Amino acid sequence: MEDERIVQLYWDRDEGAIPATAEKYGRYCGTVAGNILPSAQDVEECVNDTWLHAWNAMPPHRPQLLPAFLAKLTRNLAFNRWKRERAQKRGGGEVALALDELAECVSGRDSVEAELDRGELTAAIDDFLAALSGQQRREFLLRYWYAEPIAAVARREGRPETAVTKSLSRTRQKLRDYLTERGFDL
Amino acid sequence: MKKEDLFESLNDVKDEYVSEAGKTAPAKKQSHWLRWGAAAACVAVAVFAGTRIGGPAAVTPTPPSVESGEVAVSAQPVESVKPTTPAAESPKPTQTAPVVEPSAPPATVNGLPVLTVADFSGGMGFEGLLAYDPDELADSCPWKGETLETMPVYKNQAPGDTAGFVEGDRDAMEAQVREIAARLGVTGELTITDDATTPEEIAKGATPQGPYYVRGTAEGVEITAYADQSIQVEFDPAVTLPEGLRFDESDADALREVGEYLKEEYAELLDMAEPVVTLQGGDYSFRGDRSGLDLYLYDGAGDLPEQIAGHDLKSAHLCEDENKLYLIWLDAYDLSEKVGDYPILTAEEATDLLCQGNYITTVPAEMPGREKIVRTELMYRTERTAEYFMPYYRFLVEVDDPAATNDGAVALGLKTYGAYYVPAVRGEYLTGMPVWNGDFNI
Repeated sequence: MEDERIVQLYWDRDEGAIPATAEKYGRYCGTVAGNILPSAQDVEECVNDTWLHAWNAMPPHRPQLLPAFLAKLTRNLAFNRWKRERAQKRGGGEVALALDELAECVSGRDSVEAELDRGELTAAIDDFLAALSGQQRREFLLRYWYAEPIAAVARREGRPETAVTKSLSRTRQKLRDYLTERGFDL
Repeated sequence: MKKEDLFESLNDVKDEYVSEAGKTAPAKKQSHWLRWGAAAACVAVAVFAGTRIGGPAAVTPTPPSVESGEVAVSAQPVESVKPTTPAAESPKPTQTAPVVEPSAPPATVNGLPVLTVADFSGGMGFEGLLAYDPDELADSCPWKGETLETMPVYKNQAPGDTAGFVEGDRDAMEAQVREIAARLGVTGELTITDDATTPEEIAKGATPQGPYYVRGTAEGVEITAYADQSIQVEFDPAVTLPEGLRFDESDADALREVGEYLKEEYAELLDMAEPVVTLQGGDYSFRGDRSGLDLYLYDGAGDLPEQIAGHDLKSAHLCEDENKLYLIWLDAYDLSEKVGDYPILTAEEATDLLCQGNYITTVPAEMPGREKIVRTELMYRTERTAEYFMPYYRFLVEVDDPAATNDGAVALGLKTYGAYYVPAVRGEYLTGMPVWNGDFNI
């Protein structure tokens, strides 16, 4: 089913929207959650939560890119669940490794600006990503958005792991410099 | 700021970037896919958005792919599938045509099994090349227009699932790693690892999953056997070439010299009866940067059909880093099961089908016309989802449709050459040709 039709089902409050979404994007969202959550049961629950959140968001929202919209919901839900698991000492996995790498970009301290303007930060990151080459951007997002293992990123890009590792390291350094220059309290 | 804050802030980056990365399909060699920037990403996403992803809501963690195998298929050249819609007779990328269900095919024709045409897996974007002139694009295809009656078709011994994801046989992959190590003359102990789900992970509730790769590491070398039938040999440190040889990706002659040296130096590893040096690449980015030439060796033994198969199914990609050899990427396709020698179309017949709209492509534009064809190749495709490795005619066609071109590249004077495919095996031996549903969803 076309994405526009699926979105319209949500707007029409047609309960067929959820099975249509699950059929088309269940695997994709399952993958996004699965990269963050180690438990198959957690993944399944997270994906089901995604459909519920999508139902609540549409209307008023009308996503132009439905898969990205759903993936963002899933990632957010999965990461929140991961943080809860970690609090119970059950976190870990690939996302922990990705976070450790991202730690190079930040101080690890609570921001002096207690309420960091997340919108401004995201806008700056968007600008930063726009300036990267397509390959650098894809690798960065596969690693730090999708929490893909480096080996998997390398396979997707057809590059050796060492090359991807080096590229990611350079990109992280660039991101830190970029955000620092723009006055973000990292 | 804490690392978790940064991770969460990434959640809201532009949808286009999320899609762009998520569209990146697992790929061994995918250097010739045009991936436009943000503006055109919407178009490329739209190309794939009208088709399916791997089935119902399975939630097994596998690499993300927004859609798996999405292609625009215009009508079909298969005789067993009768076009019944106006779109099938006169394909128009913006019209919607119902899918034509193929009738049940016979199991064999003239003693040869009927072949199922595979979906084309793709990443973000579409298959195309940018150049000012098609002659700038390296032409490595052994076929130069000869008329061939038949071509061999091979059974794919390790087909992936609908998303192209392959789960490997650990023991077999470890044996491959050890064999490659022996061919390289590695004498030290190999440390073997893999990426299968561990018992600890399973105990925590993770879904058991076999390995996608098995890796052997010894001093100076890392050998990885992948479930999709390729093997990566990475040298650390990279191998220094003899004085006088230049691994220069911008110099075809220098690269060929390097290739001639390496084919002797690594003859045992390559295990090719007649290694042939060849170059690929030479295209441009949409910013106008020319990509380097890629150095390949392929097995050119046998008659022409076998040479074509060797070019696409038994080759090695030799990669450089600072004038040193740091990686050899080997095809390891199991070609032990030859299905048969299939009668094929002539290039003229294939061209006629192409011009009638009977083609498969990922290019988001209708085939613009016979006069726009700049190159024809006869080659094998190796989709992970394919049941067979079978020959196709690949047409490079100059396209100027705004949906398939990039404004920046156009401003530089670069032309876009999109790839359109026609199965070379004659239609009576084919079935399951995916039929484009007519929707680019733009």
